[in-house]
Amino acid sequence: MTAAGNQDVSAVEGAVRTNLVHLQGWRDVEVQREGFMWHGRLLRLLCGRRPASVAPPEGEASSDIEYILPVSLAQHSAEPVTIECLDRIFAELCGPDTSRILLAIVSDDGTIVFYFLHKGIHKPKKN
Amino acid sequence: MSVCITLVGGAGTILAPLVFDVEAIKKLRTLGICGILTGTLPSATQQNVFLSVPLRLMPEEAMWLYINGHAHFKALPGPTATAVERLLEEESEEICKAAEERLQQSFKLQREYKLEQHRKKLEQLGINQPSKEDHPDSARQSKETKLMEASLFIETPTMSTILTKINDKFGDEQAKIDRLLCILVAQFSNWDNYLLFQALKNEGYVLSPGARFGGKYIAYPGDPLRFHSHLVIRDALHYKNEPLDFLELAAGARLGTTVKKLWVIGAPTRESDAHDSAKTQDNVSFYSVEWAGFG
Repeated sequence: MTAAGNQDVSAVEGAVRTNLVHLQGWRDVEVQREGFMWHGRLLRLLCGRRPASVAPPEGEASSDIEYILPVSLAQHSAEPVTIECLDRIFAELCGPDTSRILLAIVSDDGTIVFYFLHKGIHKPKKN
Repeated sequence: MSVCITLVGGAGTILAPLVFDVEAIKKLRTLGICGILTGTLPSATQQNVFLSVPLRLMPEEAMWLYINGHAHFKALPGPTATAVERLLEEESEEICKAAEERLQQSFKLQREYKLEQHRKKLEQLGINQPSKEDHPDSARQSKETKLMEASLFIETPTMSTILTKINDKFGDEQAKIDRLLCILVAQFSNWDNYLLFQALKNEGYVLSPGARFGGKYIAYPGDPLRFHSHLVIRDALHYKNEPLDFLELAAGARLGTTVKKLWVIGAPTRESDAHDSAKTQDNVSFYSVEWAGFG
């Protein structure tokens, strides 16, 4: 398996996994073993299957696997995520056809907010 | 046709690039450069859709037009008020005379047109137009003339005649223009923002200033009169050294999603612009952010 063991999951990664599984109804959520070192921190993604309530990326209805980048709201100066960092994440940690990742921002009180990060310029959803 | 962009510059500062010619503004529109109309009259101030020439361009728009060979610059040393004052002192009589002549010429054309229309109408109705010599009822005639005189329009020209005179006076030496361009870029924007602008422009987007939605630009997929905007673009980030502020991201993307737009961040990748500036357009890394709909 590519999943990391329970003991070496960071607090932020654990919080996002718990939230997705128990609050948002996601399935098979795992912290990936592969990652890269970034400013003294091992940067890893989670992956999991989204529930039917979450819309798939446009033109990609087949797979329901999503990649999730867990970050802490307070980390932005200590463990910076730059555009270069995002480029590396898409190049090294995602599947080859991944067009978006889910950004999970964990704040100090445990609140987690989720945003989709699309690679490149995208059109807004039609509704 | 190369569009003339006027740069009004003073001591070390410069006002926004302006376009005064209506035909030029039409041409810019077809190029996807919309600018903002800013002109108004001191005695009847207007705002938004009622504004007129001059068209104010973003510095990026002016630079894009210049770089792609659609425009040239004209320097207009400021403050313009002094220049206009001096011009009026020297040539007020001539300007006044020219304006009067233009007005009379316009009246003359309108009168001829109206008389012709009147004659045609009578002909259609089968009434013979009595010739002036054998018409005794001169009171009625003068009444008709009076009515016609009252219906003549005074046309306000779309171009300032004074402005062209000032342009002629100061000339447009290239060195002066180059200096003004440097000030323009330094004062209003930075090169990274221009690269973002250029990359989006090359994708077919029409851009306008983005403060309304909390960004640097907003992008329309076509003419702003036909489409809603799709993107709110943040100021260019540095590719390696500028971390994302997640609180700002949440604010921008949440607002964007509620108004059916994506919040876009971008950074020019550094290795490109060192060798070949023409290649840089392909080397901006963009990400579009939207609220996931939960959390």
